[in-house]
Amino acid sequence: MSDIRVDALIIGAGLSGAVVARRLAEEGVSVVCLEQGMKHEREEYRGRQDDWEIAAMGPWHASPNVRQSPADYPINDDDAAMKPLMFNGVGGSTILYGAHWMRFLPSDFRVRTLDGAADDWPISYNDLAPYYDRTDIDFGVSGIAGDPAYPAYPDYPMPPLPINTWGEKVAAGHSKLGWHWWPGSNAIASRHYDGRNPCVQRSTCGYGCNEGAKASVDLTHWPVAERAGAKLITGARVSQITHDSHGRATGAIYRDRSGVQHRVVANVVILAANAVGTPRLLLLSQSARYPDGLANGSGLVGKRLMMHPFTRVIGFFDEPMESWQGHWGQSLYSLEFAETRPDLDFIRGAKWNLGPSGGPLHAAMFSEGEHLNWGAGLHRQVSEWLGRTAIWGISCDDLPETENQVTLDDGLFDGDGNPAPRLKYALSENSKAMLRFNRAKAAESLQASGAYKTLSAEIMPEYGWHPLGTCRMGDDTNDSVVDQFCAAHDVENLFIVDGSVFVTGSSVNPAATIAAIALRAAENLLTTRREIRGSA
Amino acid sequence: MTEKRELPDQTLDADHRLQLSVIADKILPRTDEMPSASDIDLSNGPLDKVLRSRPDLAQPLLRALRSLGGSVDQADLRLMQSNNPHVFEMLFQVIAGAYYMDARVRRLLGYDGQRALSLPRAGFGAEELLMEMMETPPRYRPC
Repeated sequence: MSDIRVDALIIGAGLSGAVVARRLAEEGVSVVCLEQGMKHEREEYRGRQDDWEIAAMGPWHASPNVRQSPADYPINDDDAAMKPLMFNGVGGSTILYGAHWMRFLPSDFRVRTLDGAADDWPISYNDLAPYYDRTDIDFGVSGIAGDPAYPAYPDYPMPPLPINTWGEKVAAGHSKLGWHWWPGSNAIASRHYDGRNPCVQRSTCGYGCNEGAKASVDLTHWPVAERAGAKLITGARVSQITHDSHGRATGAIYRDRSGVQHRVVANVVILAANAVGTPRLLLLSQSARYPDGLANGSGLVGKRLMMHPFTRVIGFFDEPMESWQGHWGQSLYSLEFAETRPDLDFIRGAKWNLGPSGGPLHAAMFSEGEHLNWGAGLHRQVSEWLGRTAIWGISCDDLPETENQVTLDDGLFDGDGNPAPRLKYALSENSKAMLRFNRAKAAESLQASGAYKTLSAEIMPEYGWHPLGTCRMGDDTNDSVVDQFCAAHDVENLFIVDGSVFVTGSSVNPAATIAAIALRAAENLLTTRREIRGSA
Repeated sequence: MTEKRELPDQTLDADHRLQLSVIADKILPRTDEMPSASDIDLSNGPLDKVLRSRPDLAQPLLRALRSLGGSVDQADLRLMQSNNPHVFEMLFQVIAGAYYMDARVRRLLGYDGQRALSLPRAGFGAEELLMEMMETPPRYRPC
């Protein structure tokens, strides 16, 4: 076993790991990042090829259980009402995400105070606002400020992408209804920006951006971090975080793709492996001193998994709109029903994002019920759908439930023999009522916008884009895993900087908030842990 | 854009291709507007295009065809859809994937693939409506 010594070890080269790596490296901290996946080049993505849709259903699918790449670990999601999506590689899930870039709402941080359920965060919107401002620039966001659904914030660095024909229809529809809408804010360049090219509206963002327009952190953060000295080790699957006799984290053990085991010794260990991978690693790192897993004195590691219950409502229009083009990405969004309304039978709400509707194979593969359509009906479905539809994606706020959790599976293992994560996740009655209400309202929106019919599924379980909350932050060491700066209560030199630390789920896409929290944690680390710098 | 990709080692023989052709015509029959699967010779060139892109589908496809046996009618497919939905979905994915990559089919649908477009310089659209929205009162909950 060979050893590497470093100031800061980061596990996971996705969004949060990249934000922290870049900031620490810029300040002279020696950084090593272990990433179980590989680095991918833009030419590998299939968006420019005829087979882009069939490839998206296999090697570029967002589910690791479908991809089954050597970089992936399997996930037992048999008992999960939403199936987790993620990507393992340099860039993490930003390689395949839609880059919807939005701040959480101020009320998201005060759910207990305002709505009497779940918990308040130990931080407020105002605590995060300066970090949102900075990450908007670092990620190169296109959009327009002034949304009345938010407190004032600075202009985005680039103007918004076009809302497209379908967006104009829905904007007019919402204007008639008096409902909120706003041009989509996306971490997708609308101009040349910091080495990135402008979006070409090919609509294949979800399978890797060939243009380098989308802000994936392999483009926005890792090159800067590596130039500043950060070392990125790919194909490195961590099996355990190690600690010394005083309980301090000492580093991690990983296996490379040829099966050779290595150890990294570090002054601080920073977990950035997402809300499934992070609790899995903590649970895998149990020892005599930490029999329930590392940093698990509260018993909350893996608990309170949130997944954003999701569905889509499709509007069919008479006129051709070429709605297979556009950014995928959000054309526009609505927060009309995002806040709690006293006249409804549920609390919190949903965020809607309007987008394009894919190519012919996507049209063919949609099923409103249990079964795919075939025969002459399939031809009709594709003909009605292709280029003439707009889709509301409905993402419901998800409040934490202790029973929804990540544990270790005793019969499923990754390629290196480590136990796979097992998910248990059920929808609450609150979430079900929220989905029902918002589906009906989204259909009303599309009808008001000129759609002659709408279709929707009750829930789309395969769209579990946002695992969150499995190592929540808080002030009380008995009721949380990390403090407000992402330092583990039980292991003082261990940090968790990914979406695991979320206290509630919001309805809004979490990428911007993960980035802001990670940047805040990095700045705090630099300010308060000066001893780490240059000590390796 | 096209590029050269290899077929998987294990591919379909003539009998399996004929069997697939029969099944594919049930999934995608001829209509007044659209050709059937066999009209575009789906079980040869178009199928190979799918398998070059998705070699992982070759084995499951062969298994599905063997399980269905020689003569397949609509009832057999309905039974598979009910009893083995994942296998049916894989079969559907291969057939529909091949069909909708075909140039003639795409032409008839008015779909010319995903194109690179220039962004409009004039604006993002619906600017006047947005001005109205900007003037509405704040809607976030103060806290």
